[in-house]
Amino acid sequence: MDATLISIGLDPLTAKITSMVIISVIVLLAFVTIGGILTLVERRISGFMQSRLGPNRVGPQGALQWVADGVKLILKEDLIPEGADRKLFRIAPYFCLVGIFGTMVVFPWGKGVIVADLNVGLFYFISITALVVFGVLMAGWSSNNKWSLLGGMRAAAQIVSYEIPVGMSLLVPILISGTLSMGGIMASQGWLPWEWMVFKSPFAVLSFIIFFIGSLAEANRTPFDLPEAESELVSGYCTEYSGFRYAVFFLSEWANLFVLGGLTTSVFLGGGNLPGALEGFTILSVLVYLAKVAVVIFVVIWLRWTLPRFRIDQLMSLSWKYLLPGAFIAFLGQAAYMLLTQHTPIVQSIIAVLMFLVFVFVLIRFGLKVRVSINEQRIPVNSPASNVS
Amino acid sequence: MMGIPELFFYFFTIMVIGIGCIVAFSKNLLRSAFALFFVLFGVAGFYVLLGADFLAIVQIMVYAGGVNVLLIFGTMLTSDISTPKTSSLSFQGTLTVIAGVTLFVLLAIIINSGNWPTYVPGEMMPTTKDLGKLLLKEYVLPFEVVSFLLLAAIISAVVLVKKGD
Repeated sequence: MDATLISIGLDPLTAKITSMVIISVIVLLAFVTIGGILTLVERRISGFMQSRLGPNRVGPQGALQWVADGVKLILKEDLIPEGADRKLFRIAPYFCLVGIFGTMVVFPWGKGVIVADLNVGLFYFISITALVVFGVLMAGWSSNNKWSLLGGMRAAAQIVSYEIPVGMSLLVPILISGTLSMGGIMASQGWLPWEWMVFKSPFAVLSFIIFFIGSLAEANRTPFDLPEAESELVSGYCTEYSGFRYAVFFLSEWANLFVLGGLTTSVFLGGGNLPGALEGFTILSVLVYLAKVAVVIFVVIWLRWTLPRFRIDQLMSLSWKYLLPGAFIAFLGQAAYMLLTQHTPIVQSIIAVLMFLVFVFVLIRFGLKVRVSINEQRIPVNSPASNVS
Repeated sequence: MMGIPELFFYFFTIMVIGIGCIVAFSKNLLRSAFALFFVLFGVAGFYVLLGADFLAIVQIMVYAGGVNVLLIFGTMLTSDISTPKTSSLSFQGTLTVIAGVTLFVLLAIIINSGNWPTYVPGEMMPTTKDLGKLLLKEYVLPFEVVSFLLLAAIISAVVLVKKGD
């Protein structure tokens, strides 16, 4: 890109800065669109799960509802409560946005499609989200409201404690792939399911489970959405926000969902790897990647509309008493496993295939159970049957 | 002709010094704590410019994301933080002045006497492998001593909390 800009007569420095700005704008637009669309997706899926319609009026099947919501929120008055710390109140939402947007720098959209493949990409990914904690704390404090303050403090305590098991559990993929760069981790996996990171060893499965639970908590998703538990705290740290600033919080929350899915996919679920014959089809790789991300996001939304909320003490004891020791076991176990099987890659492959088969078996059993409950409990939307109680 | 690293260097320098002044002189304790975040972030920027990518990320993760959040957390639990009795500009005794001046002189001597590498790499090289080897081979004893110290700190914190019951 730099070269193209230099060839049309810009000097190198301007060209470099221009290309940086252009790439940032493209990524920002993708980010905003994804965040907006995910709000709609979540509402439609939750409607389906609760036997109601959800937003379906704006555009075909409600597909433009998120644009309408965005316009409405931008046009609304931006209230700042009396007695609030005005400066901090104003800048707090952007910390959340920047924290999530910052992860996009190392986001591997597919093979070779990455803004900057940093040598410490994965580490950068989990540390830049510190900005989100910051924004939440700032919003909570500057609102000058008990509920906001409690929400902000809960969020900080929760995210800081869950960062430790998440970081520890990510050490297992780092051990297996031997690199911290997102592209390198993705390249160390194959396209077949048993070549994915999650099936590479029994300890990788353990670390995947810990990572997934921990990142749900870090993204403030139910069952861990205590910072904005509406039955206790009105709506937590964003109680006092309205208009555009509320939209920014909203957007970063749903973009965080995408980031969660993306990190899970690229580290544990094979990323956008393609079979050897199809190597080089970048668009196909991006599509494969996005499809996997969509599945993970669906599971997260599904969990949200299925599970009840945790209590704060249960949340903390889960992190410190179960997930953290589990992550240590996974790390040490993986190191021992690699030492034992380092000269026999065939054993590793057999174990990987076996674990994949066990997973398929569990999935089929689970699917059969779910099918029974869906068939028995489904009530047609807006039919007389739904009024019978 | 200024390159991008120079631009960023001046940006981070102004950020660290300017916001550092806010941290030191702000009357609102919590605003100081929030401003400290930018200072820590700017220092991470210096590490990046020096080619120490891993160190920069650790700086953000541990100091900005961990220590500073805990600091704010603690400040929030303190009562009556928005109306301090004294400004942080007030004179706090001769000993403080002596301590400050001594620290400054010591740092100046160290910075001037050391033969610091001024090499700025054009391309980021992976530093994690060498760091890991150094920590676990050459400097394994200091590394273990430090981790032992942290362990002792954690255990004593737990003991202190248990006594409160």
